[in-house]
Amino acid sequence: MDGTPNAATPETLAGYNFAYLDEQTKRMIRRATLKAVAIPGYQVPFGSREMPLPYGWGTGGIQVTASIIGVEDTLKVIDQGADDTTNAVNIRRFFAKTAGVATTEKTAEASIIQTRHRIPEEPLRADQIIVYQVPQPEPLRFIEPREAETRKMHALSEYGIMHVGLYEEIAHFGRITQGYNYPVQVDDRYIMAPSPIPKFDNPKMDHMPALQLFGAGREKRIYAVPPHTKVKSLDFEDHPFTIESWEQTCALCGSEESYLDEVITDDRGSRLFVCSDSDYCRTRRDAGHEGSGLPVPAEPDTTASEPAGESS
Amino acid sequence: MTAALSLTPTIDIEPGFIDPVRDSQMIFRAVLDVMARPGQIATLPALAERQDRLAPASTMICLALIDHETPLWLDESLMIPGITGYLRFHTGAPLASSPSQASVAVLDGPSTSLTRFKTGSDAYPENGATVIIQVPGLSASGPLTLSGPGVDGEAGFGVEGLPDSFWKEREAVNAGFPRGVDLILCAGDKIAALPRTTRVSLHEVEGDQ
Repeated sequence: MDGTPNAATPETLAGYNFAYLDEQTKRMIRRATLKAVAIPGYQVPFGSREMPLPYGWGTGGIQVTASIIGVEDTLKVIDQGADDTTNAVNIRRFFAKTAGVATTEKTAEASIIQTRHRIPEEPLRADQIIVYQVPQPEPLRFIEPREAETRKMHALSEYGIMHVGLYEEIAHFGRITQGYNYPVQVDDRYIMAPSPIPKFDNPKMDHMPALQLFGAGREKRIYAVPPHTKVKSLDFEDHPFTIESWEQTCALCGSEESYLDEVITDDRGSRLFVCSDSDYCRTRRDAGHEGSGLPVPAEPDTTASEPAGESS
Repeated sequence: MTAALSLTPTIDIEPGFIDPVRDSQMIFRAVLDVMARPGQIATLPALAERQDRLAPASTMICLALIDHETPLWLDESLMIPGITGYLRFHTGAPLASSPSQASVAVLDGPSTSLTRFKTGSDAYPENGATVIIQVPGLSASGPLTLSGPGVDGEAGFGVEGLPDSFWKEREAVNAGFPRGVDLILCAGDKIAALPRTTRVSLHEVEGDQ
């Protein structure tokens, strides 16, 4: 409207290549992505570029998205399930500006979904691609800091130590305490970090109809899970993998099935439980579902040790 | 006048993509889609067409995905100046002197044993070659049954022009997973992919077990 020179649309920034990255970089990332798909769960090294935002803000996911996205795509970006958080809004704007693509907050309308730390509640379809932002792609790193060693462990399927780590949690706490970034094994071969999604989302990865791509910018790795591929969360026969569940339902939409965020509503520990997936929650409310709208009082046992009757 | 012309010899090089940014993305997404879903057949849009043995699909895949970082090997029937000149001009990919040097290869039919290509190492399996094979035809049903990552259960598949021995050889090459060779099959403007993880079984003739 202001007569921006040479802009494809009034919203698009002039002077940048489509989707920011240069074509040689895209080809390199595309080739790495194809190899990642061909070797499910294996972390393919790639020449991660400096992006106009710092590592830790989804540069790996952004580079993968920039390399696969086309003018016909509709992009959705979520951070912890929500479309309206800083990281999600910025990345969505970044692609609206540099690629001029359509963006959406609706899971069903998106062809590419870039995500930080959640998988949408609505099952993904075969015509969608989900791109995960990954801070630490190496599931063995917290056990073995040396890259040369972890590479060898992956090469030889030398994964016994991973079960030792989980066993130690059981020995200490009586259960596996890892609640997010819960390690999985892909197609009975590579052990893979699913990125810091809650383990609640792990079962969604198994035989998902959509292609799953993972980008780690700082660690310079791309990996993938093709559609309809077995993704098994590590466990033991006598300590099977379980996901989180809540006694509460979503205070806004009443969902009994979605992953709930706990929001503290006052200084007495009252909590409101709401869906982490904002689009799922909105869709349900639009369809007439309603929650109590009320916070849940603090659990008695958590306040028992507190002095009763604060001065306020 | 003729003397001046002979000093500036020119090669007729057909045009590549008209819109390289957009066209490369479209071709890549089609390749990504078939690589993620082995046996699925995609028809590529006609974005660059030529008139010799290099099929439209292999032409466009090369234009979209290779460059100076990917040594290219062409089999004997494709090693003609029209093709090498075209690919070197548009992509800048160096020609490999042997299959074992190549990261990408284009074959017109099963001309070259898959055993001659790089399979990568256990530590770096992504160094296994991507081999593009031009075949007369592809079909979603046929004597082959596919299974593995990307295939929902099992899928039928048919390829014309590849003998049974080819599938035995492919199985042998990929037996040391994660090492292996990934295949893209091209028939005219149609493509399908068989990454190293895809298990291919041959039906015996007339429904024998």
